[in-house]
Amino acid sequence: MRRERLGKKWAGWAAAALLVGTLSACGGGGKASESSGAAADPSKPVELDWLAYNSYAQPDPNSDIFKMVEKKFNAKFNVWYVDTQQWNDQVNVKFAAGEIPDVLQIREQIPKYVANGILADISEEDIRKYAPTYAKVIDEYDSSLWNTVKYEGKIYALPSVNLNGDYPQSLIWRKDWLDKVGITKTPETLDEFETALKKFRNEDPDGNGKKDTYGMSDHAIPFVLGAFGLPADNTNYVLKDGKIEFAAVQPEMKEALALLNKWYQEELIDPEFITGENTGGYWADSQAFYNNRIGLTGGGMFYHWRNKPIGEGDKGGGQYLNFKKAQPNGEIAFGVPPVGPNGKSGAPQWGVSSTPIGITPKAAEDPRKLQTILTMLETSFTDYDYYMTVFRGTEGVDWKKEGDTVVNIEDPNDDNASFKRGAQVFSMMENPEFGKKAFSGLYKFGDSVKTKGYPPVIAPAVDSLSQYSSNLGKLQKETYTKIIIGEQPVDSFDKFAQTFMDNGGSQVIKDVNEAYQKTLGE
Amino acid sequence: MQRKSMALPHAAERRNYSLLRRYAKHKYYFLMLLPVLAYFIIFHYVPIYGVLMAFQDYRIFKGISGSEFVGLKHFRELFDGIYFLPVLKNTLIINAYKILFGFPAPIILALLINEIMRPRFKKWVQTISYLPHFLSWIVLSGIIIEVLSPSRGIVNMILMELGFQPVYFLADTSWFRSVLVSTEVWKGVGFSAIIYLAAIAGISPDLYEAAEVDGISRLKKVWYITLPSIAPVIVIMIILNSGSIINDDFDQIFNLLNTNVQSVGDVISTYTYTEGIAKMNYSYAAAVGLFKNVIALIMVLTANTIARRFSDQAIF
Amino acid sequence: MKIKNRSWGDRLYVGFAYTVLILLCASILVPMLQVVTISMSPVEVINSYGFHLFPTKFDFSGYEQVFRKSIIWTAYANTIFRTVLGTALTVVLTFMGAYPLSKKTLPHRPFWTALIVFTMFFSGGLIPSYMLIKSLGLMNTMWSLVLPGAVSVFLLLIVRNFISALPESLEESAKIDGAGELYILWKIIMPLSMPILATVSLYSAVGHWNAWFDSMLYIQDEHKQVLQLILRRIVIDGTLDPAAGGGADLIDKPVNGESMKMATLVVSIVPIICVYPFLQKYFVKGTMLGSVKG
Repeated sequence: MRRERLGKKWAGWAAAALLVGTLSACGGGGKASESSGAAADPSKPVELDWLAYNSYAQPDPNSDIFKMVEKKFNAKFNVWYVDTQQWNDQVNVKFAAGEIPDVLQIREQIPKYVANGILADISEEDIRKYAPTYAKVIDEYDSSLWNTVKYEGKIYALPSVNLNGDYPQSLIWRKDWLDKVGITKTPETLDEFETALKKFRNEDPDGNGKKDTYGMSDHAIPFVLGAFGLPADNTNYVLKDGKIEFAAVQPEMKEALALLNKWYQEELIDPEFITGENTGGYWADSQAFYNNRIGLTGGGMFYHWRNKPIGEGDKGGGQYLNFKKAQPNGEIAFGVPPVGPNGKSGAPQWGVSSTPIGITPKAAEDPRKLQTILTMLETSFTDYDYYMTVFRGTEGVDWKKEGDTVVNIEDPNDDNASFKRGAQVFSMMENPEFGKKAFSGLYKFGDSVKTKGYPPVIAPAVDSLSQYSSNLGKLQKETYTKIIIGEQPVDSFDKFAQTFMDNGGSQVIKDVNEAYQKTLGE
Repeated sequence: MQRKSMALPHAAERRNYSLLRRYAKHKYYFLMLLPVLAYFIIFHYVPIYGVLMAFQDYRIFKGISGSEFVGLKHFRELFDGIYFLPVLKNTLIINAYKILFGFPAPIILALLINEIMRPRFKKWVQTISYLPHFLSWIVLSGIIIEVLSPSRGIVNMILMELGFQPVYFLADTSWFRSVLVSTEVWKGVGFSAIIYLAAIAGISPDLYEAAEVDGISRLKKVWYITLPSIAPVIVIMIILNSGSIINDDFDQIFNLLNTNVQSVGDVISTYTYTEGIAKMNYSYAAAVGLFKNVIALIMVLTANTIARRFSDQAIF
Repeated sequence: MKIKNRSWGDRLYVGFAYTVLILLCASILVPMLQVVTISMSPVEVINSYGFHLFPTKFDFSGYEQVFRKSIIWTAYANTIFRTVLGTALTVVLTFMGAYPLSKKTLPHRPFWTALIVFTMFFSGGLIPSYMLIKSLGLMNTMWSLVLPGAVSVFLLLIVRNFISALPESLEESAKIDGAGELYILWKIIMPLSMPILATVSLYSAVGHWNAWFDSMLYIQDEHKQVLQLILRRIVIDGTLDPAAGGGADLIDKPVNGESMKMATLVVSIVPIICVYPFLQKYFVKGTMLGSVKG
């Protein structure tokens, strides 16, 4: 009896010990690259483990787009499917278990990936040889984009352009309120802004007989900061005399905060701006604006607030429609960022830099892989029809032309039907010129309301920033809020600036400027 | 182990022999326990080597066996700077309040439900009270912002009716923690009460019948019969809850926190969120986790020791 | 005199109980109604301030968007299967762990308990767990969802203490009657433990029902994934930033993300909420004990 019990117990332990053994063996073996023998024969299709897309849905490997692309480039794709919202969690765990794709979107800071051995460097020669048009487009759009993918002098990824990032965020007025309080021209300077906001507060623009309206809330604050020369949010950089600095601690911001504090005390700013004018739903929504509480909002893009129809059946942008549903008689007007005392102005802007594409050391072992990837990229930058197919899907099935713009054909059974049919899987990135061509009506509207903006300063990524950024960002936000509502005096700004620099700020500035000078030197 | 000790001198041998006898006597119990132990070994002990990551500069491609050891670097990083101590303090204060109010609440709820004699009402109350458990903090935060709004929230409307000034609960540093504690208690009370309801259901009706004969009041029955009978479950809950002093509710605080109450509401998990999870810094995240677990373990062991001194219901 | 006093105190206490419970239920029903109402309201109602306890205008596009995905029924089936299998496994294993550990005579009981409790505080994290599942060959199977969390230390300890609180006299008298261990376990302990096993079932079922992260990590095939994961994706698709998808999505239809989110919530929690009433009969005071003795 006793032996039997002991025997069982030891069997259990033995099983566990065995497990540990297999585990460590697996950890080692997983990293060995798969057979590269097949790649030696040039007539055989090159095999690519593909993660260079947004993965909104699991694409069907038997779809027409798959077949077309595989045939065109003599390739065979094994497309990974990961949850796009939990991308990092999922992908990092797979990497750790030795599962590595050949090509991937880089949603992390490049130095982290390089340090983890996930990215292989790409020679500029290869890029210019196999994808000359692509390289030229990047050069012409913003050649500093190349700096965003460099680390210690080497290129680790293919930069991509976000066309929408070229457009600053929109500032939106209640046109009917402006009319009601007798302002005919949309305000342009800080003084004109102040006049308008005062009237919004005091002259009952919504006509309900109660003093329950305010001028603005949190979304418009960055535009006011912009009037003082900088969009100071979180750890945004600003370029001053060729040196990178943190925008948040610049003395100009003290003036800006003094003004916002004055506006808050005059009740021009909704006191509930702390919990935000967006109280739920899509980020560009402003319930305070929809509910006649404030008359000035911002932060959304031109396509959110577009108030002119393009094409048949179209009524306008999503947030504009939400607004119209809440206030059928309300009207909006696109404003311009206010001009400050020194003539400066600008709206916050995302910037054109977008998710880059990288290749892993596993792919770098076989030069055909990189060639295929670059050729695919080049084709989608030169061949408009190919671009439309891989990016949008098949004409007549996934999209159709309406007037001067492209419209999605919705599948009544599945929102993701076109992703499943392979759209957006192989496009890697959008050629901004082709994007403008396909949606000329939309971008014409965007151009008509485009204002001055502050594109983000493109600076090399440094380790110390990723270490300190979240704490510095919190410190900035907390201090700004407290100064605006008067819980801290405006003069406490100087102390804040000191604390900010002492607790990581100076370190980041030192590191980033060193790295920046290096990229300039090249 | 046992076999080796057979060769030892007489007294020890006898002791071991009796121990073996005890094992032999309980062999069926161990047979029963075996699959459970196997489960814990395979699914919990085998992967435990991951703890090493906290002491390494973990690099994905190198794995745990190949990454460089850096000692306490990540712990130093965590404790460094002006930010950590306030965050630790917030965590401890908020959780102390949550335990103080959140621990007795479900017991009281279970006792109150137990007093209800109308079966239909009782069933409805039980079912409704556990509903909030299913609402995520993302959904709840929208509702809470609305309910507590100083201009249009129902709470402030009542306050103003009663002649008070409206309070901006979510942006007021002196109120924010109360909001966290009360919403947490409200959300979890019904679901946690189920354990106590089950414990109450296990009480022998004989005890109540005897009390009935003596003509004891309801409150006294609760005090002298119900509470002592469910004490084992209460004790185990106290011990296990004591560990939660360091484990904050990330989702709740992340969704309710705003810039003005950062100083009283920022806790360890929101503080480490961007660094550990979003930025792929596995070693840092592992260090934070280990730090929290050690604190929790100390708390639980302390609570367990106290419980063992005053009752026989401790964990071990 | 005495009787009157007692009944006054009792009445006050019961009155207090009713008041508290009614207030609690009211405070819960208000947000729940709000969720249900928003799930079937058009966007202008949702964006307006104030409570929305009852729908004033109807718009079921949120539900349409959820049920448009044919995969949702497969996901429902997967979740139900997972919940049933996982809960059964948990109940059996938890009891098998709790019962021996409730025996005070068990040799080295503190050691065996500590061995289990230790795992509450030290875990290897995501990466080793993933490699374990992979090397056990459980990837892409239902087992990867039910095995790793099969026993919760917390529930095991609760059950253990519940069993040790059962009156020992029952067991002793059964032994005197010549009953064997198995008989005592099956005919006395098990029935008496029904309330706590019902609790374990409920907690485990709710946990399985709500879980999605493991399914995302371990299951690649969309047809094997669970409801919560599919629903999350629907919500994400519906509230996607248009800029991420490129130009065509910029021609927005009015975004009605909130109603869809709430519809998703309703769709996902209604079935699991319906489970509780069926377990409630096990929470009636002393029923089990009476039936065993009778």
